[in-house]
Amino acid sequence: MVYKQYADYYDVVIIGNGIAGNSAATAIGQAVIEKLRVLIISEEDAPLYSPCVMGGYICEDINLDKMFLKTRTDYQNEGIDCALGVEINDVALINKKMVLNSNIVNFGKLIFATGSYPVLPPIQGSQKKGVFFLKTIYDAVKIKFNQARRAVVVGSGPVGIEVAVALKSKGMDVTIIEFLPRLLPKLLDTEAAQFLHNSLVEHGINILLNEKVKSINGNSHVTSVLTENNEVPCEIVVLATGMKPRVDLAKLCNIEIGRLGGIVVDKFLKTNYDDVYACGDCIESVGAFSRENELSLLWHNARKQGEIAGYNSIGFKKPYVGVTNIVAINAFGHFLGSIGYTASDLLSKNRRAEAVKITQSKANLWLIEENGLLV
Amino acid sequence: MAFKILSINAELCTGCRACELVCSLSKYDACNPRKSAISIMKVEAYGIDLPVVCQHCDSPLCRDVCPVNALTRNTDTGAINLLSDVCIGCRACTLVCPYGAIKLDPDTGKTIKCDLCGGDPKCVKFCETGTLIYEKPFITTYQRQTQYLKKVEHTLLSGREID
Ligand SMILES: Cc1cc2nc3c(=O)[nH]c(=O)nc-3n(C[C@H](O)[C@H](O)[C@H](O)COP(=O)(O)OP(=O)(O)OC[C@H]3O[C@@H](n4cnc5c(N)ncnc54)[C@H](O)[C@@H]3O)c2cc1C
Repeated sequence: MVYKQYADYYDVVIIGNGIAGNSAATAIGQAVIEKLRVLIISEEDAPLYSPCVMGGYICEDINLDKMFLKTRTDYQNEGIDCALGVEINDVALINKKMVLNSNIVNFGKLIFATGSYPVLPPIQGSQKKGVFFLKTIYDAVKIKFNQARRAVVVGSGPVGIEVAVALKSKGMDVTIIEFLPRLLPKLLDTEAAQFLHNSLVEHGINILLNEKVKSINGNSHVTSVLTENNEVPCEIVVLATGMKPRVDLAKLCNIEIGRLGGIVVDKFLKTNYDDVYACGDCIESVGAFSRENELSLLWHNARKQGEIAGYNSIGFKKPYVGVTNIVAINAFGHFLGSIGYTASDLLSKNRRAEAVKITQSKANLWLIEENGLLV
Repeated sequence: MAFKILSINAELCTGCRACELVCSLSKYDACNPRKSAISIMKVEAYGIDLPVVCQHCDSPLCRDVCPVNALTRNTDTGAINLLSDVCIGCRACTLVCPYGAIKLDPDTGKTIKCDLCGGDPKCVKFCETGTLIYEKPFITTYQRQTQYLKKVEHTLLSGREID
């Protein structure tokens, strides 16, 4: 395929075709009357899709076209150029130039929306065939169309729970292995986690808590997962051990990276370079309630940040109020939501929080209180 | 350009629930309050009737959390509209709405929410008491000020010496 030639100059170049990058592009398009030239670059050769519904796709609740939120022609209609399937390895921030498929592209403003990538835990044998991550749509397709009967999911964050539920719904034997003493350790306190635990066990998912995976065994293909106390036979393993901001390119360009590993931005989402903004999973930003820097790695925050970075890149001055923790999970028709911080999280910061349970008809609600006040 | 807004004067609401019925009738061909985008919250013990309906927030959290972009702003009415064939019924929007103004359709599991009937809200048409008003913000403000004036009119005048 002959690649389309790019223009020599773009008012704004956005690196990353996730929700953050796309919200930025849309905001720019809506903010000004005169047409600005916008280019979106992504290493993945796919239009915008939603990773949040990949679980539904794997268990066939949702078909592939529902996952895509845009078609390639939608970009054209919005007047946005895109370079999909192109990885950027260097950007000259001082001269505002980059090389794109052996074309030189100049830009006025740059937005980093490079997202995140899965953490590879230090487990022996994680290169074997049958070991998957779940981040991109390609991962989802690979997981969906494997012929395995037994699966192990390592990690019980939201992605781990979603994959486990999806694979179980497909009829596989599923075991979740979690290092910490409860499921969804960052989102739920012990009592709430127990509810989820019971519901998953009721639907036939095996759960091993307090267990560290030591190695993934098998010749070239996985045959089992070994923990300190158990050996679980399986044909596939999904490593859902968390995501990290993807900042390799930003680091190379001397953009400041924070203590948590995300790009540092001010309240207008500008980096330490003028005319360079960042948004989405790749940044660390202030928590709306904690006022401390946090990594968010959530869809709605990425969207909002993208919008704000888009506006500010073209001269607006919209402040970003900060990230909020909101996660919704559907486990076999049991709907679960987590908002804000857990009591355990606050306790670890020496705050005297406790989770207070309220039961109303069919729903259970835990409010996190400190000295009798809702926090 | 300012859009018309749907405002609520809860003091006037008698809880007749005509709005719920006409809403579900026009959207789902059924007189079923569970399928209405507007709800009347009743607290019988105190005689409170509070209409609850989408406020079409400036920065809507429901739209932000929607994983499939099923909630979008209509540029003609300013409403946050639901594309119901895109909605997957994940309930994230119902979780975050600060007003509890988003419901689930008990039959399809999908979101039910107000779309201002494309700029001509039926609930307002059928509201006999004037609780629901659909006007440009400056008119709504003026109406509010007038109501306020009515309340304090007496006090204001009684301070004067008129013979
Ligand atoms: C399975 C799964 C389920 C999830 N479920 C939820 C959920 O229920 N709720 C929720 O809030 N969040 C959820 N998330 C998280 C949510 O998907 C992310 O927060 C969001 O997608 C982040 O968007 P982003 O645009 O910042 O980054 P990404 O979507 O990661 O996009 C980054 C883009 O940058 C490109 N890129 C990076 N570096 C380069 C480079 N050097 N050159 C070219 N291109 C580059 C990538 O190709 C990609 O297109 C889920 C995530 C996963 C994986």
